[in-house]
Amino acid sequence: MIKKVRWIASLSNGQTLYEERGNFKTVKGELSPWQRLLLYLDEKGLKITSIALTFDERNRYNLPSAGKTPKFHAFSTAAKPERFNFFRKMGGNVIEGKIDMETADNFAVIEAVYPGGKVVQVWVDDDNGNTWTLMV
Amino acid sequence: MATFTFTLQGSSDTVIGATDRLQFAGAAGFDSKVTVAAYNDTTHVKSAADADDSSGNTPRNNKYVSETTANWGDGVENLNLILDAECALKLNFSDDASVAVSDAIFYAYDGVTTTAVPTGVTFQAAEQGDSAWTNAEGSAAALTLTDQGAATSHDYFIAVSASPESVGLKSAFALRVELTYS
Repeated sequence: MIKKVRWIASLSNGQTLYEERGNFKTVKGELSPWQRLLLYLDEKGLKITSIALTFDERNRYNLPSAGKTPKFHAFSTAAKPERFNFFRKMGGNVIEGKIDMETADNFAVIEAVYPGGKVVQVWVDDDNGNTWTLMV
Repeated sequence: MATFTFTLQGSSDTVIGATDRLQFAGAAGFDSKVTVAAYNDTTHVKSAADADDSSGNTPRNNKYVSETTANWGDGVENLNLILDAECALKLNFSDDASVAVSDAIFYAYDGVTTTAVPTGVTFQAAEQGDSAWTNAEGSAAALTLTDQGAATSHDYFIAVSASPESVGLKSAFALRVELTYS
């Protein structure tokens, strides 16, 4: 099953790449789209300048960007993240036995890492698109 | 699709189904009681119809003896000597794609609040190779599992043991696993 929440990454060469599009589709048994993105960045010497999540290709959830931002003073003066990351979190109760996508907690997470180590995370629930922001 | 599968290992493995329960029991076997302050002598899978699903599979049991020792059927041994197949629980995480898994944690809680310890139960857990048990009660005290590189299937072998602190059924006692994958 394809995940409903997917990443969108803009790169330092101006490219914007989408999970489940082009070379970043899930292929059974092969590296995940994110792992392939990391390899691509390494091969080309590129960096992620902004990252977002989309739910069902409708809503988009952005982190503060190191690249383009909305044209407001608050964005132009806000601290810029120095790097970005993406991962998925899955959790479930063992006592309930086998856990599948119907009963487990499944979230996609993007994070912006700031100088000094502060991290802002956006968590999006793969079931319903509900979103939380954390500072860790 | 990402999935967890929990198995009680034995001569044959018993997959713990969606409506099943993992049962820590006494020396008399399925449905027998564990004495207060003692640890489980047998471990079973109990179905929603109260049947012993692991009957005939010679299910593994891991009994906490001290912080660094356990009995898994061969007498008291150092915990770090337990083999994969001797751990009671096998947790499998799989995904269609090859993913790396990190920051996996495993713990007991009250079934409601992840930071809350289970009520009336002392719970111990260890990953195969650990030299000491972790009193894994509440997410802040969770057992941390080893990171694993990219693969479509990831197995974790976990020794588990539980002890009642008082008489009676322990309903505020759930086990939970959380992990990161990408």
